[in-house]
Amino acid sequence: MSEGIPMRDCLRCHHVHFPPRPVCPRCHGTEFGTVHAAHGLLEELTEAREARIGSVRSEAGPLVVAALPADAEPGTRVRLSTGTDGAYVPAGVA
Amino acid sequence: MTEAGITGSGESPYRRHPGADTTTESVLTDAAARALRDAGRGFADVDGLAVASFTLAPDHAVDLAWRLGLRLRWIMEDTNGGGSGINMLGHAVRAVAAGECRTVLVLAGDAFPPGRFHELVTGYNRATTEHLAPLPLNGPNALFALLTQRQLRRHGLERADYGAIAVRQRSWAAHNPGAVYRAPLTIEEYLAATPVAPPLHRYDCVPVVTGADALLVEADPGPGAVRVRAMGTSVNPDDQEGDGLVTGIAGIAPEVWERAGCGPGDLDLVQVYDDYPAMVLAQLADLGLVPDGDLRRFLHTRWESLPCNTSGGQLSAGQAGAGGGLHGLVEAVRQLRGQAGQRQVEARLAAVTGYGMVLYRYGALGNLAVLEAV
Repeated sequence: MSEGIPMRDCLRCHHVHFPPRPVCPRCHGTEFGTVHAAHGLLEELTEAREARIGSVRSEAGPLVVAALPADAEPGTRVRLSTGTDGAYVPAGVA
Repeated sequence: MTEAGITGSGESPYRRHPGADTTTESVLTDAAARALRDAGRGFADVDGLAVASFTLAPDHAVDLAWRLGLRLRWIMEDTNGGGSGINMLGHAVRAVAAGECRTVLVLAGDAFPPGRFHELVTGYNRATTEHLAPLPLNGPNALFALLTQRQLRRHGLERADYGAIAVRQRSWAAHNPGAVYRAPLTIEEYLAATPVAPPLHRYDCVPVVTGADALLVEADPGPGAVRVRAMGTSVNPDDQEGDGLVTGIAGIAPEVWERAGCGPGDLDLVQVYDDYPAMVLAQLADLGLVPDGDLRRFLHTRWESLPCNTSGGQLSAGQAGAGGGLHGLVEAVRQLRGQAGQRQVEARLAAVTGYGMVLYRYGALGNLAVLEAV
């Protein structure tokens, strides 16, 4: 498993988007490569009943919704993960 | 073109904990009967049906038509949640204007027996099942907590500012027998409430209820009807890549005001989709009611005297699933027809908004209707 969150990178305009969609939201291109966003800036954080949920600006561009570990603080850099080693971002089905 | 107008409205009483014999079909039927009675019509007069409901499955609009004994020439089903009411009203008005049908029932509502709401919000769409529910995340509260934090920071707001919205709407609800929460709410109680997902606490979140709403749209309406002056819809204005603090309504409002031949300053009444207090502020600003953009000053100068969400809104009356998209329209129609009892305000011109359908981070759909008493 490669590190970070797999995101779609438009081959035509190089706009990166997440969650993955079949058409690039910027140029409507339909061919993509994959980039992996391994880190991001935790912009906001809330403590919901079920989990600590945050909004993270990934280094690849997209804002993602993540489940944060107990020590994560808003305004800090966090590791993005599809597993348990960092801010968890479910990457969905391939 | 045939003239179309809203001639009746109805709401099946909202209930936090309905009995086991209360179903989606029973509340939709009850709301329909109330709207027809209000208009002086019966089921036999109806020749068009529009319905929105998250919990009608496996039935659809056509099943409901059969079960209500309707003979139809026009039918539609809408899946746009908080935007479904205005969307359906627009389709119904245009169908009547085009001469395709003459008497359209517009229905929306849901029944939530134990567990059903959780099922709805965790299975809302593919983005939810694949990217949110596994976090785990059970519903939109945490997403709107993050949005509210952005609004707090951007506009220098405090929790007590949002409290002014919850407290004022509760004071309207005191005069609405159909609201599930009617007891006065103090700012102290608001601030001391149980946290849900900070900064959101109990009174920032809509109570989920079972219930339904209905309108009747008729051709060649007589005196006392409500006319739709203009409306507009915005879907997916920003690919969920913005901050969510401005809804699609901001983009369509100028052209809607132009088509309606009036502006935000002419309104006697506003019903905005209040899933959270932050969205009340966002939509009031999107409508043009906060010209300088200073939300805090607006709250402390205009808010108290503005007839807004006069049913108590969903925050106090309750959110009946897709019925929430019709709730503000039903309240506006009641006000414009002089049927609002102790909460009646003097109103001839009203704006109603719809908002909803969280795709990944916030609502992707916003719409606006300008209604007029004729």
